[in-house]
Parts: sequence; C-alpha cells; structure tokens
Amino acid sequence: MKEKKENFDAWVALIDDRIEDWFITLSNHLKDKFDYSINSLDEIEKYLIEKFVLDDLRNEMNKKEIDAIASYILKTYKLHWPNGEYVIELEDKKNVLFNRPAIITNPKVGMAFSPFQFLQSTLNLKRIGAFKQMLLYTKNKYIEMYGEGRS
Amino acid sequence: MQAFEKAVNESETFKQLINSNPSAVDVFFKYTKKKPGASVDEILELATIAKDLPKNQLDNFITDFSDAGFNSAVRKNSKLVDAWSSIFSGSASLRMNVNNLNKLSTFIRETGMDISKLTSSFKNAKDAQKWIDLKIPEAELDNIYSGFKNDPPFNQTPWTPEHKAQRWNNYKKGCTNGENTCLDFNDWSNGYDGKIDLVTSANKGVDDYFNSLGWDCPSDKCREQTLDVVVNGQTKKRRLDIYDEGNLRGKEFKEYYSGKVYQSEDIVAEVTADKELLASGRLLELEWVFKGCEPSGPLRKLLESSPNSITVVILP
Repeated sequence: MKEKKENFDAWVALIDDRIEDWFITLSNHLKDKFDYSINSLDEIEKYLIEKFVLDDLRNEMNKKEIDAIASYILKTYKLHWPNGEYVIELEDKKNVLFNRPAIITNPKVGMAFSPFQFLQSTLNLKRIGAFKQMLLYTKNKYIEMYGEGRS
Repeated sequence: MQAFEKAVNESETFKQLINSNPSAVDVFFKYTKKKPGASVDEILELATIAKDLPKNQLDNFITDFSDAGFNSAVRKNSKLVDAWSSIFSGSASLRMNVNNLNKLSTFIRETGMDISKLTSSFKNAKDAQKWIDLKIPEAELDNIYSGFKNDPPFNQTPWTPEHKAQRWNNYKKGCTNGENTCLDFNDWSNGYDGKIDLVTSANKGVDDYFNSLGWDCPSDKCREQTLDVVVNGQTKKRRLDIYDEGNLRGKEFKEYYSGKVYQSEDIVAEVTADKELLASGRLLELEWVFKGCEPSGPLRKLLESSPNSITVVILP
C-alpha cells in the first residue's frame, strides 16, 4: 500500500513532464488546440477517437501516450475545478477508481473524476463532450455551494 | 412401581402435580428408566419444568435433560423450555445449544409469538441454524436498520439480520403508504423466515441475469462495482449490481420475495445516488430490474421522474 501511494505521488509529480514529452510528438496545429481550456477536452476526445480503437488501450505500446493524455485531462480539471486535489483509491478493489489517479474538489462536491474510468467509453461510444460535461457539472455545483471565491 | 408409590407418598407436591398433569407419570417412568438412581426431588423438578410439553416431545426432553449443561440452563430459566419445544424436532446439538435457546426465548418473550406456529415453521426449515439466527425481535431489527439506512451500499446478503431488517422496514414503509396488507411483525417474520430456503446463493439471481445479458463485460469488472457518490456533501458508496464501464450503463437488480419493493429510506438513498450518477454523466443509462417483484407506485414514480429518469424493467 505504501509503495503504491509513493508510486502515485511520483506519478502526480511527473504530470507536467509527461504532457511536455507528449507535446513534442504532436503537430503545432494540435498543440494549439490543447490549450488546457475546458473546450480543449472535446479536442482531446476527438484525438482519442481518431487515433485509437478500444483494443489499443490494452496495447503496452500505447501506454505512454495514453498516460500523457490522461495527465493532460487531469491537469485541465485541476486548472478549472476549485481546489482540485489529486487522489487515488488503494483499498477497495471493487471501487471503479481503484488504483486510478483521480481528482476531487475540496470540499468534496460531486464525485472524484479519473480519465482512466472513461477512456473505454470514449472509444467505444465515440462520444464527444463527456469530459467537458463532467467538469462543468461539478464546477457549477461547487460555485452554487461555495461561490467562486474559494477556487 | 414401588418407587413410584414411594415418590407419591413422600412428596405431596408430586402427588398434586400428577393430579393436575397426568404426563408427570410418564416423566417419572421414562426418567427413572434412564436414570435409575434419580431422587424424587430431581424427578419432581423435571416433571414441573416439562409439565406443559406435548407428550410426543417428552422422550427427547428427558434425554436432553440428562445433559449437565442443558439441565443446568433449563433449571435456571424454565422459560427455555418453550424455546426448546419450538425446535424439539431439530438435532440434539441444535436444541441443547443454550445460545440458541436464549435467543429463541428472548424472541418469544418480546414478540409473544405462538409456540405452535414456531414449531410448525421450524419443521419446514431446511437450514435450521439460520432459521434460529434470524429470530430477532422487531426492536432489534429496527436498530440494525437504523445503523445502515444512511450508509450504503445496501446490497445485503440474504438471509442475514441486515437483510431481514431492510426487508421489514421496506415492508413497513409500504404499510404506511397503504400499499400492502400491513401484516403484523410476527406474521411477516414467519413468512420471511419460511422463504429462507428459496435463495441458495446470495447472488444467484443477479448472476443468472447478468449471464443472460451476454454483455462483452467480464464478471470481475462488471459485477458489484462501487462508485463513490457525493450526496448533500457526504460521500456515499453506491454498489451497482451490474456496471459496464465501456458503455456507461448500469443495472440495479431487485429480487424481493414479498412481491413489492417500497420507497423506504435506504431505497430512496439508492435512487438519489443513481440520479446523481446520471446527472453527472458517470452513467448514461440505468435500469432497475425487478425479478419476481415490482416497485410500489410511489417508488416507480420516483424512479421514472425527470430529470435523470431510471428505466424500470419487470421480469417474471
């Protein structure tokens, strides 16, 4: 457990590095789209859908890029969610967030969010707008409860 | 016969007991046969304790009375005889178990349950120990329910005290809303306990249903998945019976022998959590599947209400 927590802390510490390394491989056109705005999450979904199919998620060769994309999504949430904190569930194996880096607001409003929970459905359903919808849902609820001042 | 006459002559109380309860004579002869050196006082005590037992239970009782532990327990608390009587047809180890007898005795005292009804219900129970374990007075069941009604997940293993507590409180809610016949606790409890054998495995119903779906979704990833939901500022664990991450769809499976699922507090908490999952985009589709039962009118209305309506599916 302690080792897993340390792995998670290291994973969080390297979020920016992973994104930067990934950006180097992208065209300027794409990099311009991935500007950490809320709308950029739609662009990320389009990119995922165009580049990958479901089986690719299980292919070790794609792990690095998938990890970088997940990092990008999490960082975007961190920038837009008030008091976002990175968390990980390491106890309950039946929890859908088990061993998946996630983010939650503080105080907690709505659920923790992990991009890893939604990669499958994004590719399977070829659905655009889910990441944005989840971000805005919690952000708006938070503002409703605590106002914008706490972010 | 000489010993019998001696006992009658020696003990006026024994004489009176025989006059008022002829089965005391049976007790005398059976016990002296089993324990030739038994004193009149010992026989008198046994006959007094066993005086209300039906004749067909005497042999077993006298045999059990020879056991030191059982003997001591019933002599200390003669009310245990009623409890013993209700399970006399069970194995010797079961009916001489003092914990079992105390549990049943408390249940009989607190519910005023008719012994003959208990005896008859016990005879039909295939899992005798479980039948006894579920003999929990109403107040205690309510306490159990209070302990978890706001703390999901609510998927209780049939037939456990928590499951019985959940079902009883669900039934009571239906009664409050005028949606059932409002059986009293004793009748309801007998009905519940009588169904113990219907469920051989806690998850068989939902496992069978899940397999019948043919979803491309392995059981270890799709059955009994927990999602954290924050409702009114509190994190709740919502354990969905079936959750398909690849399609963001889920199913809640209800199998109530009583035929109806009412809008009790724990059920409302589940609906609230599920609607939050739909509202936040964590789920795109959610069905509540009722197998061999159906939602009450108010529950169905709540499930199907907008926004974030939940589909109701009723299976025979």
